[in-house]
Amino acid sequence: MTNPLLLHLEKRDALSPAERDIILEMSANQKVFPAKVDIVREGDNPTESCMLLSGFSARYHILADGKRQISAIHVPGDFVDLHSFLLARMDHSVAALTDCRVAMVPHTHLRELSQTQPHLTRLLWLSTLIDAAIHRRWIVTSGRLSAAGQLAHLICEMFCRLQVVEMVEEDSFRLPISQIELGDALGLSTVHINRTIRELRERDLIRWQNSQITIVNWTSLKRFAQFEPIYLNLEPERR
Amino acid sequence: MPTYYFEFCGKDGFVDRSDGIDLADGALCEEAVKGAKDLMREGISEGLDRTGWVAQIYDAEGELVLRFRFSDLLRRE
Repeated sequence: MTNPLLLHLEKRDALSPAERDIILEMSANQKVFPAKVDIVREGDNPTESCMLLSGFSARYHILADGKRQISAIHVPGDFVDLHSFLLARMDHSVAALTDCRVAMVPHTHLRELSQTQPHLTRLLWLSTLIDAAIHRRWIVTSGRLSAAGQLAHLICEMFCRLQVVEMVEEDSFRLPISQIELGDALGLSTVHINRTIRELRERDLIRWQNSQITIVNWTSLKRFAQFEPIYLNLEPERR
Repeated sequence: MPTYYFEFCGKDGFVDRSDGIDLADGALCEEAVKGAKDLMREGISEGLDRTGWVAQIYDAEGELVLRFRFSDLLRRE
């Protein structure tokens, strides 16, 4: 299986053989986190950053009343806390939503890389910028779209992101995330998520069986979700 | 996790039935109330008054385990 960070970066720019080797070396020290376990916790001061190799994880905050808000869903190829290299203390936690295999990259290694590999450094910077773009889009959708629109938008986004790391088969992909977790991501009750999935099915936009989502009509789903993938920066460019 | 089936009954015999929803033990009441509030909020955004709706929740055996009117969730200012 191709390293998902390579796929993620090479979708946006070409890497030299030496840069590819560096990415592969970065992935050498691996850990497995079972589902529901925290990969990194709010308040931690990490000395390593975590690159997701397989599985799904989420950034989240716990509010004073115990409610959880998921602020990002991570797929393989995402460097889930690359920002902890410079921000030092974590202002949120990252949890494994499914069993996750993670490459632990020491910050000393990232520091060295930033001093010796300007192009690769720019691509990792790009990766955090794409993260930020996704956050901005989530704010827009949660503020302005209906529940069905928000969920449709998330499905479009996951489809595009998983396509980059070769986790889509034709129009179908696995999203092994519970309705409770989707509710925490979209700020909706589990009951409303359940109704909303049904609405998308009844509109004949998707099929959703267990964790398998099939897009029935991409054009209609995109239109319904007002989805434009420009914020995902999927075009290769010299960076 | 236990599975529950939600029915939201509107006026004129309209019934919105959910698929089975798995909820953590003890989470039913809170989730039911959040679900009803989401429905009322969605209604308001579409100019619809759903305060007359009733929620009925059944367990996997078909036993009614919770019933309330949406209006029960509202307090007068």
